[in-house]
Amino acid sequence: MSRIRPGIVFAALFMLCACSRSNDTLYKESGYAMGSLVEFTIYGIDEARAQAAVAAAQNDLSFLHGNFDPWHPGSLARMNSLFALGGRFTAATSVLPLIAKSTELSQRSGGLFNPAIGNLIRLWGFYKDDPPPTGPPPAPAQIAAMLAQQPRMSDLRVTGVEIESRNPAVVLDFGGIAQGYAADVLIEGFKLAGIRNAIVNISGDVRVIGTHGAAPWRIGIHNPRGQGVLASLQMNADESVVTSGDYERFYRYEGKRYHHILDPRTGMPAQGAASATVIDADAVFADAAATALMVAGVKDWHAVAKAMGIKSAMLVDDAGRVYMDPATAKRIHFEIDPPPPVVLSEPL
Amino acid sequence: MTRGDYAVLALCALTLPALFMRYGLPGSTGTQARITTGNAIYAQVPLSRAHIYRVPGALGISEIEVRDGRIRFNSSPCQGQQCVHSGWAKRGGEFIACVPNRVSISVLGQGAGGDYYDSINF
Repeated sequence: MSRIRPGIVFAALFMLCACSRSNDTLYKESGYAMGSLVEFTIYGIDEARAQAAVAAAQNDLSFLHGNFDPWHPGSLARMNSLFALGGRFTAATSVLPLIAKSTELSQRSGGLFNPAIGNLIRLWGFYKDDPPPTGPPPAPAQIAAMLAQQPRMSDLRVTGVEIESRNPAVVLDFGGIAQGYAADVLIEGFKLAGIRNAIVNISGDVRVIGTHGAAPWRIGIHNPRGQGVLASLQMNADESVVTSGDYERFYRYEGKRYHHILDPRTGMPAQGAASATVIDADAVFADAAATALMVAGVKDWHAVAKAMGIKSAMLVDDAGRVYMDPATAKRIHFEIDPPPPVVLSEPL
Repeated sequence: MTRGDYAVLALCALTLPALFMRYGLPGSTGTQARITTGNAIYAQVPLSRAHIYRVPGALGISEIEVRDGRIRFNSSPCQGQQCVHSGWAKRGGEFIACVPNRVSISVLGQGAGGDYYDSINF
């Protein structure tokens, strides 16, 4: 048997150390924006530059929130009012990219992701946090009347900077995509500022670039049916992980739980999954895709994922069972003991 | 072994402890947690000492409990109680927030090795 050279042992141990993560130049800052918690993490630059970059990002976020909030006076609220009146008008140019992206993703999801159902969201009361909705749920006749109006993203016609809706019932609410879009925008801003390693976390929607020193960024995924973290994931250098879950916003009424992710087909809170997680390069895609998979539920998620071009996804059902594709299973490290039962799908 | 091998071993003995002290290894439980209210730090608390902190927030008082090296929201004036249902946190980087009351808890990683989680997806 050949000897193990001490030099090799030293090199291996040195590499082990090098793979660990230094906090020497780690800058973290959190705050509240877009009605939720926002966290910035930047590695590898001095604190003054990191602070300046975060301040700029917060300004961008404030601008985006003002444009994308449908329930307070602003660009989107104005556009929603004009959709109801009919006719063509000049759109807010800052909203047009999100309309284009939403229209594309709504079509790819077969309408399971549908930001045109703002009226339904308003009916349920899930547009307000202060005070949050407490029930009762809307009457079935009210829901049926809104479904009959069939508001869809394809009702919108955009010509240059002008827009019109063929359906006065279209009310845009980008709650299922705006945070992912904002995470992408802020990361692009960081890149332009020369930042190579960072995390933007907007209300749990995570987009990363680079690494934490010599190691990849490690993200914990919340357990929807238990406490703390269900699993962790080591991120690639430019990647997002977004989860939609029924635990984020809900109320109980007469013993029944009603959550905020509405199924556009039934007008009711989506059934069949407690959470849906999507991993993708773009947070905007992952955000819309997670919403669509949450609506699809554990029965139909795989077909919807294939139709949308999702490459990596994980769902958790009410019983805590985990559904995922083999590529995702290779990357997921469960943090609970014992680990949950897993149902592996065909590859995506 | 040659004299060169002995020299490498001696170098290992001298440098590795320093490297571990400097960089550490992630995965350890946290020893402290930072509690914030609004955008301000309310307190940085040891997880070794059982205590209940009453933290004022936008809606009222969030009660935060530290016990057995862990930390949680014991009660909250918010409607959804998501923060309370999140349960205990103990690993560096774990994070619980009560968004309506603007109160949050971050578990801080042990030593210079940093947090086990860099961020939490929820």
